Amino acid sequence: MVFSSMNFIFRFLPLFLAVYFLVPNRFRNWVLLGGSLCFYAYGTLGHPLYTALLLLSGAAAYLTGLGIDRSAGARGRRLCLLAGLGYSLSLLAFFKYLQPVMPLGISFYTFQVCSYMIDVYRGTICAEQSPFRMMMYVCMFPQLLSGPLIRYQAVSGELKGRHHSLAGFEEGLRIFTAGLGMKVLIANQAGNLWNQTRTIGFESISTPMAWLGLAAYALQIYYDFYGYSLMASGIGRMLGFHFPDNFRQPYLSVSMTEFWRRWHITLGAWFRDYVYIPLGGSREGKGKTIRNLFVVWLLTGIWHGGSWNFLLWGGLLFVLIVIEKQGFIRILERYRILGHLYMAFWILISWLIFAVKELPMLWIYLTRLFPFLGSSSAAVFAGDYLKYGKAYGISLLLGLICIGTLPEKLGRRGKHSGLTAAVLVVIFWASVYCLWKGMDNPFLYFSF
Amino acid sequence: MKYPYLIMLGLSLCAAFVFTPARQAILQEKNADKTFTASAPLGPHKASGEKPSDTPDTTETMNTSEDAIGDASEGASENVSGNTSENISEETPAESHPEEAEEPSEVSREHYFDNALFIGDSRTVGLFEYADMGTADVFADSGMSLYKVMDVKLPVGGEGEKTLEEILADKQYSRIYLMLGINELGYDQNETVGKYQELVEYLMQAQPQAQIILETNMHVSKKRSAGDPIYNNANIDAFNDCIRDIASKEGLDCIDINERFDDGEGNLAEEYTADDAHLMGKYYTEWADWIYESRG
Repeated sequence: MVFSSMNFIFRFLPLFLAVYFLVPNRFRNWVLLGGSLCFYAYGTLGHPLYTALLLLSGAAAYLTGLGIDRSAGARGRRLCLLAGLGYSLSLLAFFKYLQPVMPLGISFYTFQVCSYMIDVYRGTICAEQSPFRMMMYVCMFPQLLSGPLIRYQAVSGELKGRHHSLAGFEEGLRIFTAGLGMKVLIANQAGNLWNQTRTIGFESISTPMAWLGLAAYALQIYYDFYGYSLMASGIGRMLGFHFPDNFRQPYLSVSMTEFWRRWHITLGAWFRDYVYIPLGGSREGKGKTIRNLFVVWLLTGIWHGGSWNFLLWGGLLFVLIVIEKQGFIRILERYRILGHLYMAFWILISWLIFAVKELPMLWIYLTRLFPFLGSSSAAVFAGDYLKYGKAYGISLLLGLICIGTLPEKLGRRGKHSGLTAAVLVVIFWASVYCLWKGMDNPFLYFSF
Repeated sequence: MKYPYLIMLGLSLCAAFVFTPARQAILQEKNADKTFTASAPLGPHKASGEKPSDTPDTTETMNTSEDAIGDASEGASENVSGNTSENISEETPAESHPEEAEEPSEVSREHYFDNALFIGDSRTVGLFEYADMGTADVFADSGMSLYKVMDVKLPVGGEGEKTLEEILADKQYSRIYLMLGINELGYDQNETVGKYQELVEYLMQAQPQAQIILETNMHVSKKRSAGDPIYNNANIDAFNDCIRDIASKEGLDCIDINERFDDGEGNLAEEYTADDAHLMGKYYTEWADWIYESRG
């Protein structure tokens, strides 16, 4: 059950919120845990094993934390940590490489429990003594499926007790609506345009269509993920939590280095704190810095998916970031227009590698983007980009407009809160209309 | 107002629940498509929702166009005999039947479609986008259905938007190809067959000299067919059988493109499609070539 579905918006969420706010404060965590497990079990209907794995991951983290806490010697603590990490990460690797389908959210909750175990080992946090609170941290439904990745210390206080207010609820609802609009009105539409290029076949798209389709994919992946993160944060805020930001206008960056500090921030921070810095970061000479960057980007590629193109994608980002580190970044930051052009190009190329799993298809797409690389043997409809540009233009335009800080302003209560509220009501109903029409789902909204 | 969004959203939710059909949509967990399908067995007349409400209009238009058929065919014969269109007077002499005038086997692929009209849905649109169809005309659009084919206006031959009726009045065609029926699968089948029959009769009357060729609908892929309660190959086959019946009843040619793109089990083979319903761009040429090769 995704957040952007009629089922979630009109059934699960209202029912859950009603129960949550009707029961006395001390039972609310129970409602949250119970609701989260229902949410996950419903989302993985037919795979009871997945819910069991989620609970086992929570239990493993809890026991590892306690084990580290109670071990007297450094060796015992290390053994506990390795056992905990070994269990979680090997499970993730098993599903990533050896199974056709991964349990919902496993990439996210595995990284969360790993951060918890490492933090306990390092002594930055105390081990959680209550298995109940541990389970809440792992299973909380707002961020369970696709982030943000939350550190234990960021929510442990609010897990024990948090302030509920109508102002917070309103703000949460605003953030949720902004995210819903991004997902339904921009990402789904842009995704349909990208799918069009596949429907036609990469051999038969015109060069402008190749660029248009790729731009649509870039907008789709951003608003899909950003929208979902916002919906998660919004629900969290309604329940009294404060989740960390996951995106900070990444498409306004002037370098790949900057982009990855503003895109999926919680994942970047995870790799920085648990891989890059422990390896020595950039403090031990050029050679080691490059090695450390290589490890981080290799792992980032692996985390995103099990096929070859993700390694190629991580490799490209590694090369760009190393080149930037050699001083190129200063030029990009000084001449910002150059930086934006450079990023517009490389963002699109990197997403192309991310999107196209088959390498021969990737090459075909590149020849369509850059006709001098080779010409197509198949028939091309030269007016395709006009046709689809007209059909999806509004969504793409909306996507471009929202690249800046506009969505954030809608989410916040401020000076013009009456006006922004009116805009949000329109966004809400437009999104619901699209969901009702089945426009989010290409299999329902289909005309031949 | 301290909490403007809560208040506005709350009020709009209440209003939507009380005054609009949103209530059913939300409570009964039906999206537009399902709402429509569920009521389809009642027949389009009784069903609620936007699409079926077209139906009475369509019927009316059909009646008026039947009234206008006399004029249309008069117009057509005027065209043939006295029209200035050089194209027509050269290639289809008014006295002889076009299909006799052209010896099918001797016409080159390049010019085979020159005086043809194709009526259809998005698949036919794709055919004209990606295959070389010479100077053939196309009256097709994504989502085209028998229930609206007489109502919609489409740009044809770069001369602005026209209805099908206007197109048929403007130009004498040698062949008219028709592929429709898949978008109508959610409707009552008898109703749709009636619409198809009406359209065929109308085409025959409007252009008595044209050869009318019925194309059965292309299948969807096995994957799509298995997961779709409406747009599946069993339903497509059932409707295609009705098309064949109409063809034999009216003495018209009927061609089945599924012969070319079949996977051996009655589905559109996966290799030809990326979205499980449409050919990929490069295969439309093979469709056009297949039509040419199966002429006769």
